[in-house]
Amino acid sequence: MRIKLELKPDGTVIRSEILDHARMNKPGQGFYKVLAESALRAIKLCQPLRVPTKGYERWKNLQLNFDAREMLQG
Amino acid sequence: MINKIKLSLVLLVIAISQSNALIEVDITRGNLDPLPIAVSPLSAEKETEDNLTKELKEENIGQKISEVVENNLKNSGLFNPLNRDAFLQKPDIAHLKPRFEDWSLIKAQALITGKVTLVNEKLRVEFRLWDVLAGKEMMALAFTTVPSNWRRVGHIITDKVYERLTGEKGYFDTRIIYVAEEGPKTKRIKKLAIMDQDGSNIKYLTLGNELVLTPRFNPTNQMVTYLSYFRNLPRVYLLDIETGIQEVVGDFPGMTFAPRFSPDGKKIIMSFAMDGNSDIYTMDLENRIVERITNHPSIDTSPSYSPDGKFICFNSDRSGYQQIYVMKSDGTSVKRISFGKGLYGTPVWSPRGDLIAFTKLHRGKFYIGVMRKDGSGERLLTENYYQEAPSWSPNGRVLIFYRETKTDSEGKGFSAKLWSIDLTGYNERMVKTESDASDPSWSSLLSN
Repeated sequence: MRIKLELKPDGTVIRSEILDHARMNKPGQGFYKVLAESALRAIKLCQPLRVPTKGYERWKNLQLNFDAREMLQG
Repeated sequence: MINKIKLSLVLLVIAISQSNALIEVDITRGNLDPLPIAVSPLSAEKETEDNLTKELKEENIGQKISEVVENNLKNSGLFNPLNRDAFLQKPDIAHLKPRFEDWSLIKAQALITGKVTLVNEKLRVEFRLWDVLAGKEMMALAFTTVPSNWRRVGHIITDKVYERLTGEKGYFDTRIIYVAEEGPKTKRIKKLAIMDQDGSNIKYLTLGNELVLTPRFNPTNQMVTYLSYFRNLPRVYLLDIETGIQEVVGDFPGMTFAPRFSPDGKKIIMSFAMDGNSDIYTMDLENRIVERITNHPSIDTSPSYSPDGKFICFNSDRSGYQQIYVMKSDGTSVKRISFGKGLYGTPVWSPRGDLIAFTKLHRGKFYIGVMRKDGSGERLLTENYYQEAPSWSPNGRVLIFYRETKTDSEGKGFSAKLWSIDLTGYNERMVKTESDASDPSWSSLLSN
């Protein structure tokens, strides 16, 4: 699942967008929706993100790729 | 549930990234902390409150329902219900529109609010689930039932919340049938008992005159098959929970044991022993036709169907030691699947179909474990002095089993209790029962 972020220079999140957002409401994709919501909550909890002091232009747009395979292993 | 994902790794990746393209960060790990959730007591108007108190002889039903929900969520190990004393907003106002800042201040990530009313002597309960961090409603539902069903309302709310937040069906509106035990170990009285999954509403189904063992529900949870001794002969019985009518299953010239229903509820599968050999048989409950499934001079027992009814797992000592086998439901294509050290028994197929849970005895220790249906990926979840007989929650997430403690040199200290454990091996906890207890079996979901 991919989430695109737009950040302020201090690391707070201006905008977060789920990129494969159509998949969220498809039947049989309940886990995907739960993961997406959980990831968004995690991002909100983590802000401001610890970001470098330099190069804002380079990292102000960021894409997070969440892979639940390892997380879900028992 | 991913909680705080370590986003500090973002820093590292950014520091080494030289490209001018969009920076991508792969996140493959999360912290599996229980989700902090606030369960605001369900509110009720004064008149509703008074009428409910009069009818149910219980006060504060709204609050009691939310306590049922809270307790369920806590016991799942996936949620951390927050202390109600810290709540800043009143239940009735929170239900209309929560002040999310107040709830996030106490670190709640999810919030449950609700309201109870009496409509034509029926209890109407509405509830909402809120995402505190996103500041929005995730779910709103209402249902109506007889007021005496208030505990079930709590379980149904938990099932809905659990499903919405984990993506898996819940297992809270369910019951457990087990063997209630009393008295000294040498002279145990054993009765069939049934209770809600959280230990409430215990009812005893037999009087304790005969020894009973291994009760199992049928798919509609109305019938139970179990083993009972009559004139010292163990036989498989069938009991209608509502009417209390019981009957012997089949007319076997010997002992029958280890019964279970087929997934469609039409057959009972069990072991039949004669002249030192036991094989697996089925009996069709409609036409009473008995069919022999295994035919081997070894001891074949503990059969359990796959959820689609196409396969059966069982244990057999045909290799010299007790191991787990899988075969087609007609008894063909028998294949051994357990190859680890020790003895394997009581296999039971997961309702999801992918795993088989079992008891393993190795070097004097008992383990509850799971393996895939082809025998690969064996994982031992818990080790103890004596424990056995796992049974799956209907969503295939939790196992319930029983554990006995050792008797000391004076013959004291013996106990038998029910325990549950998550499939991951976490969240091991004792399930409270009035008396000692063994042989638990989990029902399917009672609603939906």
